[in-house]
Amino acid sequence: MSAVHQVCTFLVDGYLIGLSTGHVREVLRSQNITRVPLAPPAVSGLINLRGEIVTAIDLRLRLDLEPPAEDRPPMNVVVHKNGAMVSLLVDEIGEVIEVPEEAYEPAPEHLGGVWRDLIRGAFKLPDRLLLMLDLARAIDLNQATGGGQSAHTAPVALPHMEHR
Amino acid sequence: MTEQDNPLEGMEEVIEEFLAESAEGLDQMDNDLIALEADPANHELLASIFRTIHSIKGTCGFFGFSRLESVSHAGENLLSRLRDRELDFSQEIATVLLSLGDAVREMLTAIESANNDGKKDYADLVATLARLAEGPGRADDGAAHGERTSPVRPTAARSEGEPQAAAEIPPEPSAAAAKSAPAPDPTTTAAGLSAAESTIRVDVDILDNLMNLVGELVLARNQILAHSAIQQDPLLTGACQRLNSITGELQQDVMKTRMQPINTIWNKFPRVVRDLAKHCGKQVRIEMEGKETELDKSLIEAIKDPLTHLIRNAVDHGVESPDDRVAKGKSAEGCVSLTAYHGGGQVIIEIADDGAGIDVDRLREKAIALGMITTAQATQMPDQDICRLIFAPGMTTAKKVTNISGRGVGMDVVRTNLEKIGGFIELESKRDRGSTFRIQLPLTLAIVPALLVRSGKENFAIPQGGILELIRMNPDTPGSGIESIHGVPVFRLRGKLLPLIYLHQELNLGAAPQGDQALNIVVLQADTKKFGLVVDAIEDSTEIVVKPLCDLLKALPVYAGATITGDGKVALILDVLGVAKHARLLSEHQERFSDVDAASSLDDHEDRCALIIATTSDGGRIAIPMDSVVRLEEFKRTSLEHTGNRTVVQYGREILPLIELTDLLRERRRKPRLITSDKTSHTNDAVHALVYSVDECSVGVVVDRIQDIVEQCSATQGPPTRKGTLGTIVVNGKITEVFDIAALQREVSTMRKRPKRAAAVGEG
Repeated sequence: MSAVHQVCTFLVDGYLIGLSTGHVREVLRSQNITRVPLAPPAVSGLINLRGEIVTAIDLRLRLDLEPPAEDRPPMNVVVHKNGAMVSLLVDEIGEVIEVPEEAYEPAPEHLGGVWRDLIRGAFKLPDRLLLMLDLARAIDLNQATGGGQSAHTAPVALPHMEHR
Repeated sequence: MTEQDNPLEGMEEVIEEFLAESAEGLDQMDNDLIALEADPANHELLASIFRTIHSIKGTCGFFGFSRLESVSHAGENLLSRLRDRELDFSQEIATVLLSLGDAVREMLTAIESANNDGKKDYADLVATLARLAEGPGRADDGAAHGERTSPVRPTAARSEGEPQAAAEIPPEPSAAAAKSAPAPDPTTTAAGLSAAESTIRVDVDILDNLMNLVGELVLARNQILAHSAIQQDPLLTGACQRLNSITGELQQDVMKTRMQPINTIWNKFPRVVRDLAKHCGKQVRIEMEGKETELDKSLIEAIKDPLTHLIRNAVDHGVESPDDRVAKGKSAEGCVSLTAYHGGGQVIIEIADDGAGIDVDRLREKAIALGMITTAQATQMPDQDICRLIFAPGMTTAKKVTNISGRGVGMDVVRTNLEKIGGFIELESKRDRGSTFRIQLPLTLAIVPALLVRSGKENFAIPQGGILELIRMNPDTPGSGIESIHGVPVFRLRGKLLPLIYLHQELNLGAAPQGDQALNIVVLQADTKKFGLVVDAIEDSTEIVVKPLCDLLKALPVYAGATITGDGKVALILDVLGVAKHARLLSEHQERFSDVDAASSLDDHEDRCALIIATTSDGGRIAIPMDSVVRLEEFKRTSLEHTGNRTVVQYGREILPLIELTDLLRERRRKPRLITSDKTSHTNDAVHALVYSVDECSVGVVVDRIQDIVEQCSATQGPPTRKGTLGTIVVNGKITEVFDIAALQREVSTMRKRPKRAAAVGEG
């Protein structure tokens, strides 16, 4: 019984991060962004996606990583979640890969800070780890760095994918 | 007929239709009944009520909703006897028929949710209906059921439903026909058919989607127009103009599909007023004018609760008890009147009662007690401003005030709910004469006219509704600079201090613009407060499609949404109230009303108004009251067109006829005409026009030059000097004539009488 997952991958500050292809609507080159003054820092701004207004979230800032370099325009991973469209800004788009269920493991308990909230687990690829992003949390900015931790206190460890 | 539990498979659409039609019919019936109470002899109304119940009965029998059928049948029996004038209409019958309507509604709701007509037993209602159908005398004869032959009948109707009762009543052609033929009553057929042929029911989702698509089209058009302006290709320009006008018409028509007459909510009110008046022991009649006034569906939904609240208030607290009214020399019956009409691109709704009005003195005391105003302020504030305090948030929480004044419960909520949809409410109240609430609403929410401004590198849109005026200030102009009070910038606008907010500071946009640039101030009205928003540049005025921000950004009060501009970029829409709150201009109610009393104490209660001072062609000065002017516009002379003997200009989607002020004043010309078909002369300069709205039609009055805008008392000091003027006043030490708007109205009406149409292209 080897269920296979299709994962859309991308690079953020050297990390290989993945999202189930079901969530990803499309992938775009760098877009014109309108800044939103007073918005949370992770919100880069708004982009016009064929007449629809999409909020762009910078994954580097969301994951507490170094801010993106000025000279490298970010790529857009447009995702669909709970009726809202959000674009995740990443460094590079990777391939869509198929990974076996068995290669998945939940994130380690001692993963700290915002990562503990946002990374559900990892697929063990032959040469490196593919970190699976928790999309709902990643685009929920009200669940700030510290606030989310109280949500899962004990090692409940995200049973979500294990039982699939 | 036994109860059928099997779901009506494949009939969903028919049932949906039946539910919708019945619901409409019942609403109509409520109103007809109330009208019938006032005019019991009106046969038309009775026939209409009969038809409603009759068609419900017929259809539900077909579907097998036996409970509903038996209840409506009992009602039909009563109604048919009333219709045949075998019975007289009475208060009691009205009440029972109203509760019949409620019962049918309940069952329809059950059908909608559970596909069956519910479990509730309406035996009592059926019995009452049957008893009333028996004819008068029952109640008067006391307990005696006997003498009229039948203690059997009510019970029979109760236990077995219609067959028995139907047998009792002399055969009614229509009731019998209902079973056999679907179209019993010739009048029903005629009315029903024509409606069915000329209208279709459309899912609101489809209309919403259509509206979104049109919104996209408007944006695409804006982009193409912006592009074609650069290209200067005549072929493209022509095509663009066609695209422009078609898009405009399409937008209007799609908007029309979403329009509903205000009666869709008003028709509930006669019942509300009747029931509440009964409950309070008052006599109140409701009058409605402009039922057919249309506004967008989303707005209709949004104003339903505020309107209901205002009407309940008017009956509950506004209108006095019959005794009090008679003691005051008024008729015992009070009146709540609703008026709706379109004016100035807005919908205006008035709710007036002829009751006690607001007790201003008590309100004033309470406002002082609550610390909203000081005693000194209170004595200076005119009654009108005191009345406005009932919309203040603090007022609503104070129980005592609401008990005494009667008004104020949830008025704050009414106001905020209306403001949320871009509306505005004001109040006028006279002691013992009654109160009038006046609500102004935009026609639609989705597409709004807006001003695009720039601050730093960002463009922002400001809805036109909140904009009072634009000021561009040259830094070299002496004595018109910006002053500051302890670091807070203020600007002297016609002698009054206007607090200023710098947009780039408010939004943390970084460095201030260079000091040597001209300053652009957008004067905005937020709540009761006027303030100036300083921006780097004023870009354009355009129609924008409002798109909501995603949930992530909803928490930011300074934005009302976002839109896509002509160049395809996203621009944020500023929320005027939100910006004022963010700048702490509108934090507490004390501050909110400080503006009011400052103005009133300075004014000495004079009738001050803003006057536009323009030069006349003979070198004189004329003052034009600004409150009647919709906008000031500047047109390129090249854009003027001539049709027949009239000069017009394309203005938005309308054709704006232009009239020279000189012509209105019948002046002798010392200068060439300002608007002339001679294209060779002064082709480059601009024509200044004051845009008026006369009888819902725009008209431009062309003036030579606008000198100034002043604020002062417009009561004339000298007699009229000639036709078209009201008299003379002194403005800034110079004698100035005052323009008489009636002259313009006369001119427009004579213009209308001529065969030519100078009306709007896409009449809105």
